[in-house]
Amino acid sequence: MEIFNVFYEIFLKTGIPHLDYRYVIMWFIGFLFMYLAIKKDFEPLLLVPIGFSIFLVNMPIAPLTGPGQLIHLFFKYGLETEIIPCLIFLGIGALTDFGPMIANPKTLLLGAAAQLGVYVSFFGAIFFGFNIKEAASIGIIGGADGPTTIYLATALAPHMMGMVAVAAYSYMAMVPLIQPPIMKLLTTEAERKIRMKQLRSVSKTEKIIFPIVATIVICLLTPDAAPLMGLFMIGNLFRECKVVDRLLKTAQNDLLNIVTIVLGLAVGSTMKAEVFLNPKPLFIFFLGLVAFAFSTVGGVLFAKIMNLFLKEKINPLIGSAGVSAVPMAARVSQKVGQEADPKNFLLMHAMGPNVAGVIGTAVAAGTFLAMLK
Amino acid sequence: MIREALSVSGTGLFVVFLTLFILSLSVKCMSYVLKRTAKKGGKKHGDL
Repeated sequence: MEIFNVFYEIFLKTGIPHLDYRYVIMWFIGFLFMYLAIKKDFEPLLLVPIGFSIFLVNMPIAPLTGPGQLIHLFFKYGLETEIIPCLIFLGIGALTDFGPMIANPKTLLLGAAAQLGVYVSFFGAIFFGFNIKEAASIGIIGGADGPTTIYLATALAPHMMGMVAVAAYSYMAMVPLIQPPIMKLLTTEAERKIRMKQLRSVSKTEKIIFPIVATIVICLLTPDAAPLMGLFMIGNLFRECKVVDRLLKTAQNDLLNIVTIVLGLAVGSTMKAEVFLNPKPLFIFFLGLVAFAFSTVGGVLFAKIMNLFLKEKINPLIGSAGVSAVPMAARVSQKVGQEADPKNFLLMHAMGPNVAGVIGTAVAAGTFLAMLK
Repeated sequence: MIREALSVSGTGLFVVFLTLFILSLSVKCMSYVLKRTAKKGGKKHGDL
């Protein structure tokens, strides 16, 4: 009898008696993310750690997410302090070539137009009953920029950060499925065949001065975007000045990889069964899709409007690349363009609005912060 | 709530366009000035 009691005591200290169906559902959601990443190659760098983290934090009574416990520390010091999204921007800046945008600066406006989805889904979220701060965090999904989404959600609606981050990264991975039908619907065959003049070469000096000019303009007009944009631009300066090779390599590789791991684990840790298993995430995923669709619409239609005034026409397909999702959205423009004319090369032209979209989304987030924080 | 949302989204979209428009003008100006300076100084465009 004594031995039975000892075993029973041990059994009570295992996770098994605390297990319920909600945890098992979350395990399957974690498995689904890992399956999409490993088997379908959907944003594997993020969905593998996020998927495993979902799986891990839904282990009953495991000491992971309580105050002072491992994954909670990642969340607290990485995300609550907003350090990780900014460090990711440093790495992205170090990987970004602004050359196509400097060569054709009017493509910056396409990056602005492609923020339309942010504001459409912001309204949608309010109609679905979310408060204004939650709605802003959902709307920013339309910018298709994971770190900015996390940055804004952490500041305005931290309880929803995991859901909006997962929605943003899931839809970013699905850009090649979501955008082409909308792009084809809004353009004629003749428009898709428009060939654009080859971009001029951009000098080293222009590339070095650009991050400084951009920092001045953006930080003066939207100071709340300064943490993201400041690190984005310093990363880019590392790349273009060619004298800090060690810093550049660290920003592009080791630092970016380390913060990506911590980000994935911290984001996944917010998806505990008690938070995730309610109707809200379904609305968020639906509104995220609306945001992506309208951002694509905004970019393509604005390119068509610009064509009414331009002597040298632009191919409206590059407008859809104004949603950030670098470089996937630019590749989609290239692919859809080549379906209409196999000898048309739009990739470099689409990179302009693509990187402009990153700036546009950060500015949109900064504006939300200025008005709602 | 709707009125506040309208004002937030209207202002937000305006600021995004304004910022990127000014940035686009600044980039144009920067390229123009660098081109002129390079020509005056007799340096090849692109040299530091």
